Amino acid sequence: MSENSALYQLVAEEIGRRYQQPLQLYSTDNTPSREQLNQGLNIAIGARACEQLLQHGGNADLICTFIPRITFDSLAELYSNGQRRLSAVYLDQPLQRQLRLVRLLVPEAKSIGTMFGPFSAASRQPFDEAAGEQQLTPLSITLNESDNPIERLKPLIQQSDVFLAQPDRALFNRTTAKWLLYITLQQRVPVIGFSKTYVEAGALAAVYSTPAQIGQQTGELLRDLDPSGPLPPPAYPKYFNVSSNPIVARTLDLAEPDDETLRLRLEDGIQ
Amino acid sequence: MKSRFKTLGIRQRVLMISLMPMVLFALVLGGYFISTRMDDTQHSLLERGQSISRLLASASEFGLMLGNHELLRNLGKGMSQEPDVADVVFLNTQFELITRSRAFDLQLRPQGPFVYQENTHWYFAEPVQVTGISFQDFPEYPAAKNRLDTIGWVVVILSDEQTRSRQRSILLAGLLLMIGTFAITAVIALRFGHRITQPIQGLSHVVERLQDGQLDTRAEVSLTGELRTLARGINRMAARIQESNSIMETKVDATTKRLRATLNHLETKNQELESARFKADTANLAKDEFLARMSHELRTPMTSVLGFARLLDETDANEEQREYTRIINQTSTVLLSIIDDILDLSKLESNAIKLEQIPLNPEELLLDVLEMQAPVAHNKGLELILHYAPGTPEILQGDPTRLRQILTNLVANAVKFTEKGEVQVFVQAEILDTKQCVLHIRVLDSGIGIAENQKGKLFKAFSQADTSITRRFGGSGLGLVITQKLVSLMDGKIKLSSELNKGTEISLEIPFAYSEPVAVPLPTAKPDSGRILLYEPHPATRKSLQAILLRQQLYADIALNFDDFCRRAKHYSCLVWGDSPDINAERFRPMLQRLRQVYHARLVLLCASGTIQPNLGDQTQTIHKPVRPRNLLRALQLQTPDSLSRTASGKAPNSDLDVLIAEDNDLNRLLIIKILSRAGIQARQVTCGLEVLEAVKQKQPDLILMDVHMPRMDGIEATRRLRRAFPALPIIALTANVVPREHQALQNAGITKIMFKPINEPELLAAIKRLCNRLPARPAVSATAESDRTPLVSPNELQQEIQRQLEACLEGVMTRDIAKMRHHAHQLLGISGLHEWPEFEALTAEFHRCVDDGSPQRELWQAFWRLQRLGKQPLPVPDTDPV
Repeated sequence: MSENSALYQLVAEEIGRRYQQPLQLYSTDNTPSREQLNQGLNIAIGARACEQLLQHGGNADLICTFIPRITFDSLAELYSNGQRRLSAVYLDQPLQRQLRLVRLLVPEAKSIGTMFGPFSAASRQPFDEAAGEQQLTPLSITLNESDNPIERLKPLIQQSDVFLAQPDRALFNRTTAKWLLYITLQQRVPVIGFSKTYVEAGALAAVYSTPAQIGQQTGELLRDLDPSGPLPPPAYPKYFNVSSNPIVARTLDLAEPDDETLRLRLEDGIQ
Repeated sequence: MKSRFKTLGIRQRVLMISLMPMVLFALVLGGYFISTRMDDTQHSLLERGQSISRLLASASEFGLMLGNHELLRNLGKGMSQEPDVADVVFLNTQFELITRSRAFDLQLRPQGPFVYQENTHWYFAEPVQVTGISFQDFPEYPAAKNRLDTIGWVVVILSDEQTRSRQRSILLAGLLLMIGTFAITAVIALRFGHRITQPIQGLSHVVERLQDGQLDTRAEVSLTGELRTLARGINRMAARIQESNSIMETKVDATTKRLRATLNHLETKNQELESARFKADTANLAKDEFLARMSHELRTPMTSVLGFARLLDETDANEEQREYTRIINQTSTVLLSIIDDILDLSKLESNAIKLEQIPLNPEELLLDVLEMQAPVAHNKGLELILHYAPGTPEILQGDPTRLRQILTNLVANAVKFTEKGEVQVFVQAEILDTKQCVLHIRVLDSGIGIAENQKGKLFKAFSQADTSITRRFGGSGLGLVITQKLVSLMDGKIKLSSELNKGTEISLEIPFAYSEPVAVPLPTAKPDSGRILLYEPHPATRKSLQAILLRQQLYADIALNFDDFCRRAKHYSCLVWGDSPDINAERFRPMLQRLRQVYHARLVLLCASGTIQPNLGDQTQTIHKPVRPRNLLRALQLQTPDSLSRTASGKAPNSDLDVLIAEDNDLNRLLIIKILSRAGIQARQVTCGLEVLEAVKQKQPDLILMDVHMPRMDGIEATRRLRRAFPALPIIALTANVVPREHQALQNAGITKIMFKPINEPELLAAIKRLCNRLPARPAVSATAESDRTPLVSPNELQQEIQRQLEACLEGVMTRDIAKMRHHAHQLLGISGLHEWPEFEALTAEFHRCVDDGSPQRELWQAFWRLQRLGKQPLPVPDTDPV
């Protein structure tokens, strides 16, 4: 666990409940010895736990869960020695699911804007593909750390019908989040967020997974795991929720969405 | 300050009490609220500035972040519309101006403080900081850090003018409010204070008026509460005071009336007393007059009685008749002495006696007195002894007449009241200094004494120790009184001690001036007999004799008794034999014969006075007791040459005296001239005071005999004038008047001596002798002199003179010429006094009084007729001598 907090314990409990095997829980504060870590399977809940276990090295299999995809990719790239078997359950949703939600919410949207930072620039290609899948014109900018994101965002937003907010360690901070909402609202451009909190702050809607859902997926993965076989590839969350802000919807003169319906339609879409 | 507060009136105090807290309250509260409100405005300004700046900071975040100046300018412009906002300035992080809405000088302080005042502007600088929102459910997305916390500055500039004006208005309003409140409070306090103080001041005015005595002042009772009670109380009090005041006034009035009545009463009493005193004075005067007249009236007949008794004695009367005449003589003398006493007392009581200051020999004087009393004493068988202490001054300055009177009185009294034994007189002088001494004289008797309770009466007039004494011993009872008065006049003291039936002792202490005694020459020769044997049966007498002899440095042996005397006599050349007064001739003669049988030399016999010893031979000398030292020495043939010469000079004729007689009455003048010429004295004569002055101017006489009543200028005035030029000239006044007033006038005028008419010849001569300090040649009073004594004025002449005067009086009466009547009445009075004619004298005196008093004509006529009738009668046979 990245830390011994209720959030991570919830994930751990859900894993334990689904796996139905005893788990040894440690937080990054009290890391067990290397010998202990090399025995059996290691599960890292959270980015920091994952990073710590990777730093320790060892040969034991490691499944990182409750971790953003970009973070895992960069960690795996940084610490991977080729000998170790790695897998992950991502925290963030796949682009296709998010764009489907865009389509569901703003069916008449023609273009979708987003911005990439130094860490997320690699995602531009997938974004453009996914947008195309949904008949949406992808509009994106890539920003440097020195750029004023608000200044740069404003013309982009003015061109876009929908804006997709994506987290980037270098760019997306609380200010950016605020002023993104401010500008988009000013321009009457709906923003599809990536967390329930952002929805509550002013984004139109978001698709997201709860810790329990992540834990459930991880536990099922462990249960279904063949110890002799290879580890499954890293996976996006299987279980998710949709959250929307009806006030924002009303402001933007959109139909008031029903979250459960949207979730179900998204599930259907995936299938 | 405190004292000043104390002197404030109630009005000021009430005002102060009501206003002070109000003012304080208003000041504190008003001040507090004003300052609070002003602070509030200030605070609100600050707060407003801060809040505006804060708001602007957050509002400008976007603009600043985008560098959107337009946005900022709009923001600033919008905010500048706000009141108070002077300017809104946007700055970048380097405090460089981005945009502002107004244009004036900025005073930026990049280092802080961020809220400050500069001139009239308040600056509120607020950093513009980026803010954000949370956007992730889990902390798994690493958030990008906020690169810039502060992206710029907003400075809001507020003008404080409005605040200031608001503060000013707050201050003004507050002050106005305070002043208004104060004014209202003052008005209220004044009104209410006035309500309280006015009645109190009114009451105090009432009290002041009451104090000033306006007791009918009343306080108003229309007041309320305690003041009403107070006013009523004051009114009640005033009423009570008024009431009591009126009561007091009534009382004072009553008391004053009573006092006035008492004063009136007292005044009446005083007047009564005054009149009573006047009456008493008048009565006293009348008494004096009466006494004087009576004594005068009595003396005149007494002279006749004495004269006739003496004449009768000289006729061929038998023993019995002689005895009668002797008794007559004796009683008349007593009577005369009583009269003299009364006269003396009267003079003493009116202080008419003036003491003389002339030389006197006390021893001689005492011996004179004793000799005078000796016959009586020796008749009673009493020894009279003088103890004369040595060292007593020989000559003293004093009044011998009065001293003699004193001693005579005392010795006579002692003799009178002593039946047996002796009367002794002790004399001793206490020398005080070279000029003053005190003479101590004691008169000691062995008589009946005086009871203790009677002593006090002795010195009171007209009282004797026992009334029975008067009957037994006779006397006026005035002797001691006169003595005492004389002694006190001499500044002396008299003391009496007595024991009943044992004797009496009277001591005198009289101060005298004395001149150093001339050294008495000692006897030239000692007694040739050498030794003296003294026999004296009486011890006190013996002692006295011894003392006399001792003073002459003679020493005598004492014989114890007669036998011893006879036995020892032959061994002495000189014997002194003291004889007892009670020894009679029958017993004495054989004793003498017995002595003479054994003794033939000089014998000095000391015998009582009156005892006439037959001639006992050459060798026997007789000396009468009391013994004079000179006589004793002569008897012992030890006469001092001094005394011999003195005797001789006394006999020498002296005719160079010049006496001036002032007398208007011719007969009187003639009489006096005759008296003087008989004494060998030449005299000049004048008839009035003016002539006296003239005569004295011509030649100063040795002495003046001055009549008092004379025409033109009387004797008193003449004396007064003479005294100015001749203070030492002796003047003797001759007057028939014995009234003390005239004596006083004479003494005041400076008269030397007053003598009374009828003229006593020896007294007059003695006085002349004494005053002229020379012994006037006076023929020895001998048988020849006696035969010489013919009447000075013949009856014929007298008769004629009386007729002449009466005729003149008649003329005066007829013409009512008072002066003439008075003159001739006076002349008549002089003649009558001169010639021992009592009836005529009395009538003349009456007529004189009538003229003097200015009596009615009828009374005057009656007096004159009576006088004329008597005047036509023949003169009475005149006495031998007008004594």
